Amino acid sequence: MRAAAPFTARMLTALVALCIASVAAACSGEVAATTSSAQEQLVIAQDQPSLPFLVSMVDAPERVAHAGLRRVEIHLPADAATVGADSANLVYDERITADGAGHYAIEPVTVVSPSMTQPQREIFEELQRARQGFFFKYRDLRVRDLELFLGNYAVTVVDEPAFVAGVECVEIEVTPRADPRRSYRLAVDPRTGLVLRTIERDATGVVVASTTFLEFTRTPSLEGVEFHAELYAGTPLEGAELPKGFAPARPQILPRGYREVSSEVVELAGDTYVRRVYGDGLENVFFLQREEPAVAVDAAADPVAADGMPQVHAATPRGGAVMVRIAQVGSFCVAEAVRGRCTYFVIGKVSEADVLDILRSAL
Amino acid sequence: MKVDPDRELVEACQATAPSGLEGAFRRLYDQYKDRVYNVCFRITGNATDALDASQETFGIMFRKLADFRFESKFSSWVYRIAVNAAIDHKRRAASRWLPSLEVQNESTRPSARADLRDDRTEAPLHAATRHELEAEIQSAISRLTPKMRAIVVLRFVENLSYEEISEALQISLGTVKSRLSRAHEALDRELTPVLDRHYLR
Amino acid sequence: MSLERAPQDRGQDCNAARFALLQRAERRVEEAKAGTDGSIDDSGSAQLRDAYASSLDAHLSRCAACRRDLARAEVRIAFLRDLARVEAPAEMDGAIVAALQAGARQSRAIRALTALTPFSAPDALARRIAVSRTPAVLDRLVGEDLVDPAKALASRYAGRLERLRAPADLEHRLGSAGPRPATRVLTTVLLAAGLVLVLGSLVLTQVLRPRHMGTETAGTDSAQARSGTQAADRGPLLIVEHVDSVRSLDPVAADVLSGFTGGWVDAQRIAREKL
Repeated sequence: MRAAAPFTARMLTALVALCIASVAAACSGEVAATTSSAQEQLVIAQDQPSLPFLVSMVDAPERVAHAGLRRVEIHLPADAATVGADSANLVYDERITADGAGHYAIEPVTVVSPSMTQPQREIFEELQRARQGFFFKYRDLRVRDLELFLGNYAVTVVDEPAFVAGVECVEIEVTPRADPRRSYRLAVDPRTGLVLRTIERDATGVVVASTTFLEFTRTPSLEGVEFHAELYAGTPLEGAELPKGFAPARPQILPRGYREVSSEVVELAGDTYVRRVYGDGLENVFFLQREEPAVAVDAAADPVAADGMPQVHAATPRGGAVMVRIAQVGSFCVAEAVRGRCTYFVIGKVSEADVLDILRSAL
Repeated sequence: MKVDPDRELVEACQATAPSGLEGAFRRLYDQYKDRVYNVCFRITGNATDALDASQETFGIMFRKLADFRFESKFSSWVYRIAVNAAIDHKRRAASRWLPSLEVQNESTRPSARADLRDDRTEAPLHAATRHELEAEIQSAISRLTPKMRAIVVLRFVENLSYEEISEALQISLGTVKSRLSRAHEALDRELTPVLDRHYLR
Repeated sequence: MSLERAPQDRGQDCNAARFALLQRAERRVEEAKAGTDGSIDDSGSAQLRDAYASSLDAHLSRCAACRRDLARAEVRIAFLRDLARVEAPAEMDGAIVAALQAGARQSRAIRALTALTPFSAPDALARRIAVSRTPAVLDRLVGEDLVDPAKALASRYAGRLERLRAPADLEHRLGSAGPRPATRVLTTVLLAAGLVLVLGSLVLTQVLRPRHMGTETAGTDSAQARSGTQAADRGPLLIVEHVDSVRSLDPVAADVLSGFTGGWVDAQRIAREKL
């Protein structure tokens, strides 16, 4: 008894201590996260040399009438299905015109690299024209939500001004707080908030993308400009009519710092999709969901469609597990998963773990 | 069932698969452009959004025309697209900040272009007062919920019957009546002080 | 004439008369506009005359509030009807032409894409299973998690704790002391209580553990995201297959990526074509 009692007491003390420690650890984790976030905000606030100039960046592309020729460069690792390292670099010029009232046009001008024959270039340009709405809204680097942007990115103003297409710009270095090795260098026209040059570097400091205005004017001639017509504008999901049985999924876990920007029903290539866009203030992640019509699937069939494109099958290995196919292209991660009659896609500049969290929490 | 007055024209479009604003589709467009624009303008409340919503309406009409099977009147279908496009456009526009140029630019205000000297519509109010009043009525419409806005526009601006509204919005006749009733109550709250003010001048 | 508003809440009769009153107001406005008296005969007013006219008249004769309502409704409807009809602006034709051209362009782009021979990833490189072959027991555990996550977690930890063995010298000391049965029961009860505390704290820890969540600023979203933490813990098992070429993904995924990358995916594809 004498031996057992101290042992029991010690065990209990240890167990209670363990309980308190684990609960306290959990709580302090949250407290620490909050404190850290508050400190970060403080640093941001102190780092704000010209907040109005940042504010004007948010809607500048729509609000400011402008036009110009700009060079776009994308350098990504060569795709496994592509022969020749040269084609990993894409460099082209395009002309952008915006009327300052929300209308815009992005017209391809020349392809510098890879070298293309005339027919190749014609096809490429046709595709680029068809995509101008996407480019304007999602490809072009811009501050989309200032509050989120400041929460997720550290901004440093570079001492020396930069001159881009004859315009004196303020240059800022933007670094993701989650991964300070990556960076964006933006040259911004402080009078309008328009970004006239962007240089994006990956974690190793290598330039992966850049856009630079070669010519620029704030008084564009709008004569003869064929503004982009939003043919496939989405319908807000709330209140939209969906095909019978289509139950929209909603990711419950987002990458750190991301927030839902929009949820819409869109028509892509003749199919109905629910498209949810998430943003961290600068970058976007897409979550797409499509439902196939109920048809019998021949399990033995070759999974290649008529156009030769490999098709994803409804792979449900066992126990409700879901097969996810992932491709990594530079810092972009693309995932697709099929569950039942639904196909889900996640595309964005986020890690594979983030993509899997999004998918898992949506399925 | 009555024959759809647009049937011939629509079938002509379906037969020829138009590639642009030409032929039968052009005639269909000419027939509907004012109606579509009017609905879009009264629902969105401004010329820029109305133009965009009209563009979207005709874009959808163009793409889906081949699939139209006359299960409703063609005009009801067009109104439905226009109402939805305008409501969606207004929702999207509300989520982004865009300066409303019409506020400053009188020349682009459709109401400024409209002929207000029509004998039938001219009340014993001065034209300027009338213009102001119209703006206030439009503003009251804009403050209604999208569903109420749609029903008020179809009933009073487009002069559709209850049955036509029911078909266009795909709601029952009872819902048309109750929604219209609620819209009246809301407009009553909004407009009574305005009308009082104008009458008491 | 003053249009002061009547009290909102009136008698049952007033409520019953409300729609008939609006229809009458509409009819009177129409008649006034057409310069006729009773010649307008749309279905609404016809119904009104047939079914409600007399009872409405009777109600109006004794209800001043409804008479005021009718007067106000007439004025309101007259103004709504008189809203200037707006003509489509001249630039609309151009906008529609642009929209239809954009549609045609889209079709041409799709045709151009389908005309290209598809990418085909080299077999050896195309696929490899990264996280694969889950043991059967995992299915069971996932199943348990789905049914009752807290219980599953507790039983899993309890299962581990059961296998813990006390050090040999302690066993010896306990054995030599030979505690009486009552003491042993007390010890067992206390230990069990302690164990419950540990398990409880572990479960609590899981609940409180901070996670990568959507930011907390949007009220509804954050609330949903928070509840989603647990939902994600119960999410399905994902088996990941890495592909080396985006072209072996669904065309829609490749297309969105091509948009994000400024056309890079398409350029890759087109540059391979012998055109």
